[in-house]
Amino acid sequence: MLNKDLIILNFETNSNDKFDILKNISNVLSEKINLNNDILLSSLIEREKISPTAIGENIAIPHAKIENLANPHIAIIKLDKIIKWDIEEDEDVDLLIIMIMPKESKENIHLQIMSKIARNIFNDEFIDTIRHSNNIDKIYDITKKIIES
Amino acid sequence: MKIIAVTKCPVGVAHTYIAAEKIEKTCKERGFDVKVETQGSQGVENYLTKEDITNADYVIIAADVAIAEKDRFNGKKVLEVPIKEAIKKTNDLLDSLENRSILQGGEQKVYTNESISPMKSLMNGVSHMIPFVVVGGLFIALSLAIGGKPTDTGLVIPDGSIFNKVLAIGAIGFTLMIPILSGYIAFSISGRAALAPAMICAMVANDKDILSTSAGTGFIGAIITGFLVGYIVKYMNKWPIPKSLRAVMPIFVIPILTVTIVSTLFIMFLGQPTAMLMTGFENLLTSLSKNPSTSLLLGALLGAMIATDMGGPINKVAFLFGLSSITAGNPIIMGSVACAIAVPPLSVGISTLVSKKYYEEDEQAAGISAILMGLIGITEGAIPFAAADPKRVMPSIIIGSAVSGAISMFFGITDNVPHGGPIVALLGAVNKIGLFFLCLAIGISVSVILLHLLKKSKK
Repeated sequence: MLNKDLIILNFETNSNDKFDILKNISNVLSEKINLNNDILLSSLIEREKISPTAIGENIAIPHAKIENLANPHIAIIKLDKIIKWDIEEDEDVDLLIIMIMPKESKENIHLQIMSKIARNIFNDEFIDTIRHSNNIDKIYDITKKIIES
Repeated sequence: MKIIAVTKCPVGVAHTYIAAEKIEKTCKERGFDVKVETQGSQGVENYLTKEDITNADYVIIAADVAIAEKDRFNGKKVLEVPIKEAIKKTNDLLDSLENRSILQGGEQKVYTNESISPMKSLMNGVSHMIPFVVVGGLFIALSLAIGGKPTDTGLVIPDGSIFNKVLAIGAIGFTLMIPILSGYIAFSISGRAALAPAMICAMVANDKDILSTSAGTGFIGAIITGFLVGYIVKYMNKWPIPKSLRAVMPIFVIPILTVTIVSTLFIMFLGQPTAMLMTGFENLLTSLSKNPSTSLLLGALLGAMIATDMGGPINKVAFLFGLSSITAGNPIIMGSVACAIAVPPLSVGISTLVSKKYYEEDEQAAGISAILMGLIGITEGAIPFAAADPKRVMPSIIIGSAVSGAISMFFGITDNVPHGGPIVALLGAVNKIGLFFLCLAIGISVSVILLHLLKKSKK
């Protein structure tokens, strides 16, 4: 579920609109994990419309539940600039932790891992490493450590 | 300050858990007690029980959608916020609890489908019982140690001694421990209505006259009545009862019906088998004792029986067999019993010291008093441990006691006072004091090692 391919530093935004950016991200991710782009994008946007996923400290956690997905995925994406993610609450974001989950997860283990990531969103060691390191291996290692904790 | 919270978000993958973590962390930083229930896509985790809710000062509901079983919190001060606020402004949220929380009206709804595991019910009974065992055991131990004189009928405190009163107080503690164990097992399963019937039935199950046996069924009988009453009352609680009659159910109908049913079951179906079991063991012991070649086996069996139900019928048969051996002029059998008697409490007590991490805090406290009881030959000190974790504790202490009993038989240790433990050796009732303590040490070592290995495998 965790893959160095899905850790992207300095993601080129090319826009100031979060939906444009999600579209770009979905393009890239769907190819890497071999998933239909439309399905992924619509699911991410749908969740974002219920309520923006910015959660403070310039972090957002877009997530999607996909039908018949074999494996869950975690993507960590650092944007090349700060984007207005939530106009209503005036939230800026430049770090995205994206979770892509199977809709009907029979194996509870996936859900448990995702909740572990969620519970560590404000873990200083985790977030500081992601934020300040430009070394994909390091970011991968700390995330792995959290999942396996 | 105790704060409880429920978190729930639309998808149930991320915010539910982030908010739970943030609330827990912030409360802990402030030194508050906190418990957060998550209603996420993994289902409900860390469920807030009736007890949690009763003890809480404030309830935080951090949710963007309706939460399940909200009426649990009726009668509490509740603050409902969007889940994002709980994540981003946790500190402000806690500061504003007093001003912003609203008393949720209505009577607290209790969900009886709260699934409580049998293990948890057992622990509830045991944790309530421990102080009774400690007070009872220490008072008895103290009175016998200071005021007791060795006689043909055991350690006896002379008439007129103040220690008779101390002994009587201790005996009350021991008498109460049986209904408390049973009552609080049942209480945790089905609440108030189960408490009285379980306590009464446990007393019935321990009354040899009511059962028409020569011994009550001890703590094992108390555990059985606790679960039996708990589940019967749980079933009765589900009966469709007209509203006008509901009030009399828990104070009248349920207790009377349950006591009748469970007592009848015990008298009809358990009294007889218990009596037969005792006769069977008696015959077995008699036949083993007639043949010198089976004396080691006899010692092992006596030891095992002493540790099996600690004050219950099987223990009693072994002890009385030892007692009659003194009058028959063959106190070697009582010697074996006297060794085995002290092994269970001393073993569990020492185990709480050497294998500390496997025991809860209240068990560690009970361990110290178990050692003191063991020194005075009060096997009951091990009961809380055996009741809490029978699968691991029972085999450990039974094997240790059996080893001790067999070795004592081998050395030919005798005891002229029908009582056990190091105290009989110190009072001069034992022929070979050094070997007596060696037997104890070996039996205890076996039990402590077994306890360590079995408890370890559980973790």
